[in-house]
Formats: sequence, C-alpha cells, structure tokens
Amino acid sequence: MAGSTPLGRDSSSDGARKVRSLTEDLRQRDDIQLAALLRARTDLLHPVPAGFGALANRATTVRSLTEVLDGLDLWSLQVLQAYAALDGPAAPVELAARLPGVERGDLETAAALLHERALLWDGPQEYRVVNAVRQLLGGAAPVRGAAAEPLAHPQPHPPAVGAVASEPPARVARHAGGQAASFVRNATDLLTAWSSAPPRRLRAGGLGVRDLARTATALGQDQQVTALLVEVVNAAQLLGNEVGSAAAWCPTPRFDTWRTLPLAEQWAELARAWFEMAAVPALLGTEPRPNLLTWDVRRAGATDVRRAVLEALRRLPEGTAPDREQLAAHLAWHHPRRESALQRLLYDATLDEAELLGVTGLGALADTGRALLTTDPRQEAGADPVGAALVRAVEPLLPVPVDHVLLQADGTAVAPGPLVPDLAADLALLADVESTGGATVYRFTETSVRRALDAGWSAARVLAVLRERSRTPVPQPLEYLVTDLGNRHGRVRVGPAASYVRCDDPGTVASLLADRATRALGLVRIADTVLVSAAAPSLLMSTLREGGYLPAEESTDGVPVAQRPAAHRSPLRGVPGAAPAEPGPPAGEVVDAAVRALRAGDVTVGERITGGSGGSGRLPRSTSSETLAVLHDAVAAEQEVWIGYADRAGLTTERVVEPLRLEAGFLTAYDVRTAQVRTFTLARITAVLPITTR
Amino acid sequence: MNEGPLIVQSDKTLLLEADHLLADQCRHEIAPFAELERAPEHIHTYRLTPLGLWNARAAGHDAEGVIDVLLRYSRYPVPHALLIDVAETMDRYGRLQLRKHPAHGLVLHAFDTAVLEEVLRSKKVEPLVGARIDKDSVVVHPSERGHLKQVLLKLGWPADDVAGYVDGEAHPIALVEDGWAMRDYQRQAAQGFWDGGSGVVVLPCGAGKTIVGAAAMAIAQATTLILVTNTVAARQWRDELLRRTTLTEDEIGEYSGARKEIRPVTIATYQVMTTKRKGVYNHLELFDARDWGLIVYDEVHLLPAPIFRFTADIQARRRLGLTATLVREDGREGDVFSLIGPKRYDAPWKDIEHQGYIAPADCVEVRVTLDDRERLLYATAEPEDRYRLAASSDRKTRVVDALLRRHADEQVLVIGQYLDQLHELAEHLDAAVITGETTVKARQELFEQFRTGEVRVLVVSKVANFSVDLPEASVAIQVSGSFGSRQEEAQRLGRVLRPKADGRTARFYAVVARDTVDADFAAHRQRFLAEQGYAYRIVDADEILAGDTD
Repeated sequence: MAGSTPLGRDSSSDGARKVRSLTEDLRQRDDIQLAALLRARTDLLHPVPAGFGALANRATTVRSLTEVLDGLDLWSLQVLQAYAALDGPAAPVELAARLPGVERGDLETAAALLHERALLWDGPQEYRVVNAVRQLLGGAAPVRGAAAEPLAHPQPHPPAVGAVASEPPARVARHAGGQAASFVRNATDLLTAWSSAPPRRLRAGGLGVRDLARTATALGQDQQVTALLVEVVNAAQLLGNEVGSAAAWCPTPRFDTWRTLPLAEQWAELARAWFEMAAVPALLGTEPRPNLLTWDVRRAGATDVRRAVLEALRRLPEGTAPDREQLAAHLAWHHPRRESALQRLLYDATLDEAELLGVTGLGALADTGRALLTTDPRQEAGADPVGAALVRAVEPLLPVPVDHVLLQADGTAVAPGPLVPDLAADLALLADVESTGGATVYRFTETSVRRALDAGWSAARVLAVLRERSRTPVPQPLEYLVTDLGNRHGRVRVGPAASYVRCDDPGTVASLLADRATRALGLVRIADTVLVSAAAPSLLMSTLREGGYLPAEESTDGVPVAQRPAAHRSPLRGVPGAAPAEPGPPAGEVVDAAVRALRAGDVTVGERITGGSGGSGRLPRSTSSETLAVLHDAVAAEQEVWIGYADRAGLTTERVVEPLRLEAGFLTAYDVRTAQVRTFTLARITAVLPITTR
Repeated sequence: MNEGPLIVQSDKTLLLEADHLLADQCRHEIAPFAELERAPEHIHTYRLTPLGLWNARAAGHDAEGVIDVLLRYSRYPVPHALLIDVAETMDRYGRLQLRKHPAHGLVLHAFDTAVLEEVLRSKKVEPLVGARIDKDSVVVHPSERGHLKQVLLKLGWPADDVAGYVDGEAHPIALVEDGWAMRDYQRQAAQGFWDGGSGVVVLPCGAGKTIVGAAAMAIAQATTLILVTNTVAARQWRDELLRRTTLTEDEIGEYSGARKEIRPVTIATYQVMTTKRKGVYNHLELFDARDWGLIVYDEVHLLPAPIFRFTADIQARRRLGLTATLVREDGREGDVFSLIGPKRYDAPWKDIEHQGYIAPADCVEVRVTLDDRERLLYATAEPEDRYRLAASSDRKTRVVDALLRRHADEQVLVIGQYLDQLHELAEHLDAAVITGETTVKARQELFEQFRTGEVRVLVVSKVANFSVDLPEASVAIQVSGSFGSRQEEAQRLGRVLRPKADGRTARFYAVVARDTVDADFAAHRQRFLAEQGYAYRIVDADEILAGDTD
C-alpha cells in the first residue's frame, strides 16, 4: 500500500483479517468499542440500525457527520484534516511532517478518538479517513504520501486560560451567596410588581420595550438584568400570560407555591431554569432588537454553551476569575466549527448571567456552579436528587434567616437579614417595604396598620407580634398609632342591606322581628327602631302587608312614596313604531308539534303521578351509561323520551324530545315543545326516562 | 459570616447598626461619601447619592477607597451593580476641570476628550463657552463660571473648579478667645471649608455656626459680606462678631431695610437683597460694592432664588454656606452644591449633644381632640381652610395654659403660624407677642427682657424661626406651623437647644389636633427630627390637663 511504513506493514500482517471497509471495521469492533461509538454519536441509535452495513451507512450521512464534526475539538479536526489530505492508510506518526512539532502521543490519542467515532477506519496501527468525511471537509484532492504542506499552527492542547484575579474560595462563596439571595429577591419583586400591574403581551407575542424599561426602573435594576430576570422566571414557569383580548404577562399559580419555599429551593429552581433555558436575554442589545419572551431571543445552542462555559471554568484552579478573551479562545478550541459572533456573545452573556445568579462569585466558579454542572438536562426537573444537591450547595452560602426586627422611633422596622417566612408574611401585612437588600426596612403607617386591622387583626395582636419579634422595645409613637387605630377601627360599621324598616315604636319593631310571617325576609335589628333586610323593598312591603302590618313606603331621602293602585305601565323602551303584521295561520307542523308537546306534558304528569318518585316532581338522576342505553333504545325505537337538561348556568330544565341521532357526545333530537331539531350535549343530560305509556 | 455593622441595600442606602462595636469607626469612614438620612436610635440610614460621592471626590477620596470601606464593614455581600455604580459615578467627577490658562483666562479642560465632546454638544453648554483652544480645552466666559458648573452638574459631569479665588481686599480680622474657646468641631469646620475653597458647613442650631463664620473670616483676613435671613439675625451676628473678634463697631456695617451701610464687614439681609424696584434687584449691586474676599451665607437652605442667580456670577469669590440642614423644601440641593460648593463639614446633632454643646431635648406631641362644634366645622370646611381651622383650635389654648403652669419657673416660647391665634393666645396668657408687624426695636427689647428673665413667656410668629439667640429658653410650645415644613421644625427645636446653665433638658411641645390634617403635617414635620434621633413621645391632651389638676 502506498506510503505505508514498515510499521504499517507489520500491522497489516499481524491483523487477523484484512479490513476492507468501514462496515468491516465496525463489525470487527468489540462490544465496548461499539458502545463507545454509540454513546459518542447518539443519533446512530435512533432507530437502532439493522446491521453493520446499515450502521456504516448511517454513520456516513452528511447529517450525522456534520453533527459529529461539530462536536470535535480543534486538535481532532486538525488530525482529521491531515488524514483527509492523504490518499492511503497512514500511521499517526506519519502525520508529524504535516503537523510539525507535535508529540507522537497527541497524534495517537487524536487518531484513536477519531477511529472510535468512526471517522477513521482500519487501524489500529494505520488509519484511513472515511471518504464522506473528506468530501465534507471540502479539502483539496488527496496528496500521496506525507508530502503535503505542513499546517501552520497545530494545536494539540487548548490555549491556557489566564486569570484576571484569583480569589480565596471563601470570598467567592460569600459573593455568590449574596448574588443568589438578591437574584431571588429581585425575581420575587418582579413577579410581585407584575401581579398588581401586569404588562401587556404584544400582539406578536413578547414583552414591549417600554414595559421592560418601566419594570427596570421600578426594580432599580438595569435593563439587561431585568431582561434576565424576566426570561428566567418565565423558564421556571413562574410567569405566564393570560389569553384573550387583554393578554398580559403575570405570575402563574406556581409562583404562590414557589414563594413559600425556603430561599435555597427558590434559588435552585431559578438556577436550573436558567441553565436549561433556550432564551438569551443578551440578544436584546443586538440588531434587529428582538422583543423579550419571543422566539427571536431563543437560540438552540444556548444550553450547550452555558454548560461548556461552566465546564471550562471548572477546569481552572479553584477561585480563578478567567480572562474573557482567553476563555473565549479556549472554548473556541473545544468547538471550532461552532465558532461565530453569536457564540462569542453567548460566552460573555453566560459569564455575566452566571455572576448575577450567584453561579460564579467575583468571576470564579462557586460551589453552586459546580452543583449545577451535575444536573442532567434530560432529567425531569423537580423530584430529582440533583435539585437537592443544588439546594445543598447554595444553602451554606445564603445569609441565615433572622427571626427578629429592630423597631425604631421614626416608625420603621429594620430586619437585619432575610426574615423567616412567617415573620416576613406578618410584616408584609403590617408595614410597607421601604428598602430592600441584605436587610429590609419596613415603615409603619396609618394605612399599613389599618390594612392589618382590616385583615382581622386586633390592635392587641399587632402589638403582641411586635413585642415578641422586636429586639428593641416598641417605640411609644408606634404603640400609640396602633392603639389609637385599634380604638377607632370599626367605629363606623358598614353592611349590605337592600331595604329597611323603621318604626318609632321599639315594641312594634320587636314584634316584627319575632313574627313568623317575616322570618323569610331575614330581618336584622341594627338599632332599637331600625331593621334591615336583604330582600327588595317591594317584597318587604308585600310580606308586611300580608302579615297584617300597614307599612308605608318611603324614598331614599325619607319622603313617603304615594302608592298608586296597581295599574302597571310599560316603559317606552322596546315599543315598535309600526303595528306588527298580523300573524298568519299557524303552519301544520307547528300545530302538530304543539299537540305532541301537550301530549308529552300530559304524559309526564301521568308519569309523575304513577312514577311515585317521592312527590318531588324531579326526574331521578341517571348514570351516564343508563342515559346512553336509554337514548340508544329510543333512537332505535323512534320513541320519545323525557330528559333533564342542564344549561350553561347549571339550571336544569325538563324536556320531551324525540331522539334522532346519537354520536360523539351529542344527541340530536326533536324538541317537542319548541318544535325544533336541536343538539344536546350528552354530558349535560342529567336524567332520561323513556315515555312508554303512550 | 462577617458580622460587620453595615448593611448595604440595593437601593443605595447604607444601614449602620448604631450599637455595634465598630459603629463609630465605620461612621467616620463612611461619613465622607454617604449622606446621613436619618439617625434614630438603633439603625442609622445613610444614602449614596451622586452629590455625596462627588463631595467625597472633591475631598480627595477615590472610588477604590469607598468600595474598600463598603466591603470591609458590610455584613452581607455588597451588590455587584452598586459597586460598579459607585466607581462609575465617582469617575465622572473631575473629568472636566475649570482652570486658569495663562493666555486664555478661564478654560474648561477635559482629561477625557470624549466627555468634552459630549458636553459641548449640549445646547445648554453652547452659549456658556467660547473658542476651542485644542482638543481638550475650551474657553469659558468668566461670567459663566457658575452657570457652567450648574449645567455640567445636571449633565452628570460635575466640573472640578480649581480656577482659584480672588483674594479680595485684605482686612485684618482675628479671633479674641477670652473667656471662651473655639470648639474642636468649629475649628475643623472652618479649616475644612478653607481647604476646600468654597462650600457648606452643616451644624445643628445652637452649635455655634456664627463662630465658624468668624473663624473663616479670621483665616481669610479679607473684607466679608454676610447674608442673613432677617434684621434681628443681622444684629446678633454683629454683636457676636464684636464679642468674638477684633472687629470694632466702625468696621461692621448693616445693610438692611433700615440702614444701608457698606463697611469692610457688611451684614445684609436676604429680604433687602431680593427687594425689587421697578422690576430690578438694585440691591444686588452690593455684591460688587467692594472687592469682597469672602461671602458668608447664613441658613443656606433658605437662600432665595435671586441670590442663587447672582451667586452664579461671583464664582471667583470664596463662599461659605452655613446651615442646620441641607434639606430644601424646594429640592434645590444641586444648586447649593454647584454654586456655593460641596459640603465641607457635617456633624450629626446627637454627636454634638453628647459632647454637651447643645442641650438634650425631650420632644412631646400633645394631641387634643376637637370638640363637637369644631369637628363639624372642620368636616364641612373647604380643603384649603382645614389646616387653619384645625391648627387654631380653641382646645389648644387650654393645653398651652396647662403646660405653662407645669413649667412655671422656666422661660417659655409659644410659637405659631396664624396671627389671630397668636394674638388671642397672648391676650389669654397676658404675654407679649412678636410678629412680623412688631418693629425691630420693640422686638429687640422684648428679646432682651426675655433673656434677662423679666419676661417669662413670649408668643412669637415665624419671625423667630431663625437666628434668634435666646439661650435661656428651655421650653417651646408649638401650636401651629407652616404646614409640613421639616426644616422649620428643626429650626424651632433649635430655639431651645442652646446649652442651659444648669444642664437642664429642653422641652419641645407640639400641640396637634388629632384626626385632622394638622396631625398629618405634624407627622411629616417630625420626620427630620426623628431621623436625627429626636424621638417624639405622644400624649393625649387629657393627660396634660389631668396632671394639671393634681
């Protein structure tokens, strides 16, 4: 074989059989090697190829090759290209001429890897390139022997990543913890703000630029940070949009459960959502300025890049904040075929975002980031041990929740750290938040304390909570405010009433209240001489009259209203200008239907009497299978049935119908009373009874 | 976790735990760049503002130092965005510099060409500058030095003014320290001002701001123009200068409604300076009447707009602002910064109280309940009349009576807003009354009698808010005020804060009608003092009246 070295020849003579094709090469591989190939090129598994021929075919399609080439690092590609430039089998060392200054070991490792991925075959001493690869790499015609031109910069190893700073791990952890806590807080703030004032969803989907700017201002964050928050809470399914004309972005019900979780778990959900989301909020700053929460800010490779960046950080000595240029070059070496301007933007965005989330601290990978790398993207989020690992990683970094506040004479309470959930909930009710951060500053105002009283708290309870939870004595002005509001709260009472009865004689009022005749009115005495009722004034009047009282009606300003004898007048509305045309004689079928309806009514009365269903007059409920059976029979027998039918509002009416057709959950039937054929939803038919007595 | 005394909030406030071991140390380190916002008993709140950070830059602090202090004392990790913001903000100060050029006079010089390009593109800067000298400097009309600084501050690129000052006409002035001695903080304040060139000294009422002014004059050794709020204050300044310095009566002139003297040291009132005749402020010429070496602005938080405008034109003269609070109800703190100068010295009230230089004070809010007739009147009144109605409730008179009996052997000021109410009160209490209508002579006599103890109770209107030196007043009863003015409340408390001979605690009563706008305004007024660590107690009028009977 041309260009083969003595070493090569040795190998072919040693080989048990001559390998003549990739198929044969594959067939000769042992199980471990095959498993390695399938693990590295998972696309070959779907579907599982029928045989080695099929496997070889599949492995040499453009699509499959592109995928595997994209995953190669620069050195493997360089070696592969060197092979592609050769026209015959060659041992790795023979490439040294083309890849000068490289160690033999590096060449052999790369060749072995390429062989494992089925990009080279033959071997193990000499390899040939798979033909399809050569075409795909678009190289010039293969050159015989090692006469090919040497490559300028063979790079068997990734470029080193220098450090801009090296931080002690404790500082990295501390910083990451702070960022993690504030990220969760900001996310909560964002969702809380959108709970009360949800921004509109654009007609084309997504969030408007102005709404983003407004939210950023409200949160006191810059737009990039806000954009990240929005996409992360969306990815964590804490944000959704209502559908319909007033489509708006607002929190999902998951937010309500999420916010009660411990801080560490809240963070873990957000961090994971970030790690696995396709959105790249950093694209917001690029032309053509896409909107958030649209497909325009989603990129398929985003997840892979995040993982690659964090992996690269993990390979650095602990506490290293990398030089970004060098890190980008390092990452480019690992995936040279994926390199693009977008890729570079993704690297930078990932580093920025990781810092904001507390995945890194001061630029260096924190334990939180390391835990994140152990997550498996294919695993369902939620009930998994990895989530627990993430929680365990972040927990020690987070500030310890405090169970007390400091009350001050200027009407503020300072919580010198994140509060335990129950105290946080109490304070959210009792006071308004004035400043957030590591600590929270609350201010007590008349409005805020009233809010608590409105929620059913007593002044005593407010003070008890404050006394119990404050490290400092309750300041006198605050105590005064609470007591004072407590005394005044509820002095004026409001309740619903539709009508009232007043009478100067308390005796009469008392007897009215005791009268059996008025029991149905639900009269309530609110003063010695005043009763109120939820019933309408007219009903009150008539009931009292029937009870033998002589009520006089009065208007809202207390003036008696003269009662005219019952001579009702129609309002003007709805009166047609011209006289309606005389109705013609009724059509025959209407008459027939009327007759049938009448009969049906007759029949039902008869049923009621003879059925003896407890005298309630209501149809007994049928089970759905009964309903179906009866209706089937009725259709077959062309027999009328009596059905109970619930309308949309849940009101049940009874009808007599002649079933015509039964299909797909609907009953088409002739309704005898309305003389129309209409469709009934089976699910809403509450009961059915065959009419057999005719 | 680091148990530092400081918590850095994401909204750029700093919370300092006052009882922490490191609190004092930390306070001293953050004071140069953070503004004290409130100082109640346990947690003090400071705020990082661009003005505060620029004040710090002007005083020679750099961003690294500031960030280091924050990181060192912070209990929790400091938000990353905040650190970046601090660095960026501080970096903006001094990129532009106003300086003297040997050939072109006053020039605006940039250390960053891009910044100069940016500000020159602004339409507001355009009319204030002249020809471009080179890529980094541009000529500035000397008369626009102040305006330019104002505009640049608004653009977010405050200029460092190193163009220097005219020395002014020299005049020998020295302090005469016989029987008294300048306090440390007064010396530091005067020196801080002088080293900074121009600027504002913030000291509580009663802490001896006049002496800081006198000390600054003694350093300047030049003719001085002093601007004060009113004539009574002008006379007190004169008396004080005669007592504390080598100046003689002939050297001090008064420029007021009554007299128009221009002497080496001239004390003028804001009122006369801002009087217009035929639409022209003709008294503003006083600024140019002499070659002043120093201009002192008393109560700089009250500086009226015309004086601001004129001050913009005299940026070559040294300016000293004195005040108890930088809070301006009109929000023109930025103009004070660019026209008078950065804050050069600041001491929290409570610090000075602890040093014994101002009397400790007990502030009490007395709540009266309107009677049924007044309640009805109040409920039906037009919104604009409501405060007046509530504030001048008759029920307050009984409370004032009771309070006067309670402090039967002390000097009491009754302070109010509405003249009718004051006259009624005065009649009822058989006390002298001072309002804007009272002549200066009569005022001074009454104040003198009050000082000597001949008169025990004075009923005063807002004319006595400022700069009236009444050392023996130990009780003030406020019956009404200018709506929700925070600085007025501080000034009024200041009236009773002069240290007492027997070290007595001063009392400040605010009598307020409950459940009315009066109470709302009172709450707003009290915020400043509460933030300075003066806690109000609230008592019901009934308690005071009940205490009266037994």
